[in-house]
Order: sequence, then C-alpha cells, then structure tokens
Amino acid sequence: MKRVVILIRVKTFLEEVKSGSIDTDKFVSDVKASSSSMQEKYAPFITLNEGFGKATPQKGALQYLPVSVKDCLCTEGIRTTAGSKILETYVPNFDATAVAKVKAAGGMILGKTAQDEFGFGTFSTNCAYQVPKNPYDPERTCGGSSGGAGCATAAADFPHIAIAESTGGSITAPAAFTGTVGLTPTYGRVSRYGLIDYSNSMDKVGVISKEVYDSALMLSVIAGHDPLDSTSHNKGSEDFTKYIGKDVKGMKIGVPKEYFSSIDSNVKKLVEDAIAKLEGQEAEISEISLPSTKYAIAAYYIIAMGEASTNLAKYCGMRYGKQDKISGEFSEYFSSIRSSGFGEEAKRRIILGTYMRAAGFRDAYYIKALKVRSLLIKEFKAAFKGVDAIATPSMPMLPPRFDEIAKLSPLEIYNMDKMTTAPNLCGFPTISIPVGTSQGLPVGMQLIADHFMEGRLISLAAAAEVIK
Amino acid sequence: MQRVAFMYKKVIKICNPKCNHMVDFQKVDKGMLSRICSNAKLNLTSSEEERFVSEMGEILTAFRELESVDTKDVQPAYHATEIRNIWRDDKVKKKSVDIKKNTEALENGYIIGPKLV
Repeated sequence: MKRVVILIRVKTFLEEVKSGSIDTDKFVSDVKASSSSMQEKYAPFITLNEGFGKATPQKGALQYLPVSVKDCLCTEGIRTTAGSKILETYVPNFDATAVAKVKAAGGMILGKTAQDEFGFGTFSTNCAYQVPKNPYDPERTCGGSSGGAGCATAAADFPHIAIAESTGGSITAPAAFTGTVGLTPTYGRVSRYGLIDYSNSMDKVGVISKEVYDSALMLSVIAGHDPLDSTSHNKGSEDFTKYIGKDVKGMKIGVPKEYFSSIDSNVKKLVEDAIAKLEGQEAEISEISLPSTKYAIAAYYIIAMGEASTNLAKYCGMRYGKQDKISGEFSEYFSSIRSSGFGEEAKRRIILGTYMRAAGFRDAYYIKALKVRSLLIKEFKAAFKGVDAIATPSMPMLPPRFDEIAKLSPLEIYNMDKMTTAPNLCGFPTISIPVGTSQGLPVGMQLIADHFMEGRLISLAAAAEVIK
Repeated sequence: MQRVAFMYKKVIKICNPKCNHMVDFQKVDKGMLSRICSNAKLNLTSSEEERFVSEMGEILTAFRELESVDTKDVQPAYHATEIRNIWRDDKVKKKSVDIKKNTEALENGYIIGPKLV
C-alpha cells in the first residue's frame, strides 16, 4: 500500500517518491490543504500557486517536492510582486533561472513567499501585503527580508524547501528567527536572471530549509553559470550533499571577538556551546579580530541604497506593474504612480540613495563606501589565510515582538544587521544553523567562508546541526 | 560644478574627490528634500516630509563614521568578487514572449506614455 502520511524528511521523501511508495495524488491534495491552513495561521505567502500539482512534474532530483519561492523571483504565470504594491498586478511571462532549474529537476512551485518590500527590511514588517508571523510565537517577527520563506519552512508539516534571497542578511535573519537553515551562496554562484533587483552588486539567490542536507541539495540544483546573467561566475555546479558527513577534525574556525560583544547573553551562550560542539569533534578554534567590520553597516547601507535608488527608477506606471489612466506630463504622472505605489521604507531608501549618489556627495558617500568594501574584503581574506571558516551569532538577539519593533527608528533597525552586513557586502558565502532555543525561541549560528567555499560550510554546519 | 550649484545651492562645501575625508554638509532641510524628491520622482505628504527630514539627518550622521577610515590609495570595489565578462554569440535562442502582456495603455500595438514635451 502506498504511503500518504507526509511528515517526513526531504531526503526520505525523495527516496520514497523514486521507489514509488508515495501516493502522489493524495500528497498533492494534503499539501494544498496544509498550506492553506498554514496561510491562515501565519501568512507566509503573498500568492499561493493555484496550479500547484496540476501538471505531472519532470523526473529529477526534486521530483514532487513542494518548493516555495520568494516573491522577488519571477515565476511564469504566477503573480510576482517583490512585496510591493507597485507590482501588485505583475504576472511574468518567464521564469527566473533558479525557478526554471527547480522545475526542470521536478520541484513543484507551492507559492510566492512574503517579504519586506523589495527586500528593504530586517523583520518582514515593511510588507505591502500580510506580515508573516513567527510559528514559535505569532506575536514575533520571522526576520527579514525573506520572512515568508523562513515562516513556511518552519511551519510546513510536509517536505519542503524555500528559495530565498539575501542582500545584506535576508536569509540569515529569518533562518535564525525561525529555527531553520539558511544558505547564502557566494555572490555570482547562483544566477540572478529573473530576480527583481534591490542592490545588484550584493543580491544573492539562496535557500532556507529544515536541514543542512536540504540546503546542500537545493544549491546543487540552482548553482552554476548562466549566460543570461553577466555577473554569474563561470563555474559549473556540483553535488554539494557530498560535503555532509565529512570529518571536521583539524578544520580551523575563527571566532571574531567583535561579534560577541553587545549581544543577548542567551544568544551568546548557545552559539558558544555550538562552537564547543565543533571543538569536541576536534575542529581547532581560535579567537580572531576583524576590526573594520564596525564600518560594515554604514558601507552596506550606502551602497545598497545607492543601487536601490537606480534599480527602482524603472517603476513609473508604464509597461507593467501599477498603472493609471495616462494623463498630464511625464514628471507628474511618474511621481503620482511612484508615490502611491511605494511604501515608506522604499521611499526612504530611494531618497537617501539619490542623495548619496548626487554630484558633490557621491565621492563622500558612495565611492567611500566602495573603498571601505575593498578594505573589508582584504581583512576577511587575510583572516581566511589562517582559518577555514568564521563562526558568529546569526542575529544579536532573540526574535523581537512586533510591538517592540514598532518603537524602533529606521537607524536602530539598520543597526540590527551588524552580524550579517559584512559577509554580504563582501560576497562571502554563509550558512545559518539553529543551535537551540532560549525562552522557547530559536537561536542561530552563522558560519562564513571564503568565496566559493560553500562545501566547507556545509561540512561544518552538518557537524554542528541539531536535527529536530 | 555648475550642475552641483544648480541642484544643491545651499550646500556650504562639497567634497573634494581627492580628499579622503568628508567635509561639512548642510543639514538636510525641507528644501533639499524637495529637490531630491523631484529628481527621484516622489511626492511626499507633509507628515512624511517632517519625518524624513529628521530621520535623514540622523542616518547620514551615522553613515559619516566612514570619514575616520583611511582609504588613501584604496581602489573602490564595485563588485565583491572578480568578474570577467564572458562573451556569447549574438543569436536568438529563446522563444519570443509577449512583452506587452502586462501593459494597460496600448494603441495600435504601441505602448502609450505620458507627454514628454
């Protein structure tokens, strides 16, 4: 008799699909029912795919696996808003390369996950649609900006992997706050074709999943050079699951002292315990210093806002997205559409980015920040000569409540990104893994490696992983 | 430089590109915010104006901490990794798609836009 019960690990599920022991019709209808109820409870989706499971998926590594996609990645025939009202009606007629690869491997697109508008946020509270709620405590944030991806992964009672995206920590933050695994690849490892851009020199398509194995599997599917993305690196993909179970004995892990001050003491303890667990497996731990990382938040936000202000210039009420009856002269019409279509944080970043790129200010802000990025890359590269990876907390605190977030100023929120901005700014791969709970809330540890060293991160993360 | 003077008449000093340290900037006021919004094609409500003027001052002051970093002889990193252009043949490979599928204002197959001049 074929199995219909679905609460099993991704690896087991895919093996059982292959062996023919899963009743796939029943599975599809169970997943639809479960995701609708999950949506009512936690709101992880902006759009659920009405066509989910209607066509028989292609044979491949992900056959019949439900995959959710962050709403900033284009999906053919499924509305794609990037979390913004200005794209409320946009239905792409093509798939982003990462989505096309998932489909070609047999994955089934479950829906488009909630996010801060265009990725502008740390807590998924700058949403033009519903704000996703943390399955550990619905009064608390899922983290941002890929909050829906973290929420769906934590709440799903069926095998599932989320395609997410990070610019300055948008995979690590939700992974930490929802007790999931978040893999942010090296910049250029995964094609950005079809990704609605926020900051084109930092945007990275990645994965959020329940286990390290799932992230490694999905990276194997979506990585690789793409002629449609000129910033995609000329590297093929590989089977990243082969790094799981590798001996971490003798691997060197640097612990930067700057990342362990002014953080929640419960977070600190759990991360130190996880590092001790790796030491127990004979990894070599040493304290290091990364003094320039104190400038990472400023450098990151200057570059991100500068690039965002140009990337968002294309939304003007013509061709696609929010449109109105064409009237008046162009400046009046464009301003009217943009002012009603963009949310508050989008406006703030466009204004700041426009200011910092303007003649007279460009050298002082934008070019200065690019130079600081050079110094940060140099500092990390020097550290990687002595260590294989760097371990830090993923976020400096436990997931805050929505009423606490509402009291924070924009600058205070930007400062919450202090763990994640430096590696994202420098394009280094990171992985966030759950390392336990405090007061019933999850805590994550972030591991950072040199460019294209995702395999190393996967080995270490799997060794430290606590499988629920 | 004429353009700078035109756009930001109230700026007391501007940064010398050869200088590694930021110089004084005038506090962001409503006039400057209005000029930025005009460039960025945004209309703000009066409450948004009040809030943004105050927040921008606080945010830009914080960002100016980069002043203290010595970046003499440092090249800007436009990308985090070394990227080399990879050429491909200029051949049509993909099926054609209806690029006007999401467009509401069309006339005789052309996209209609607002008046320019």
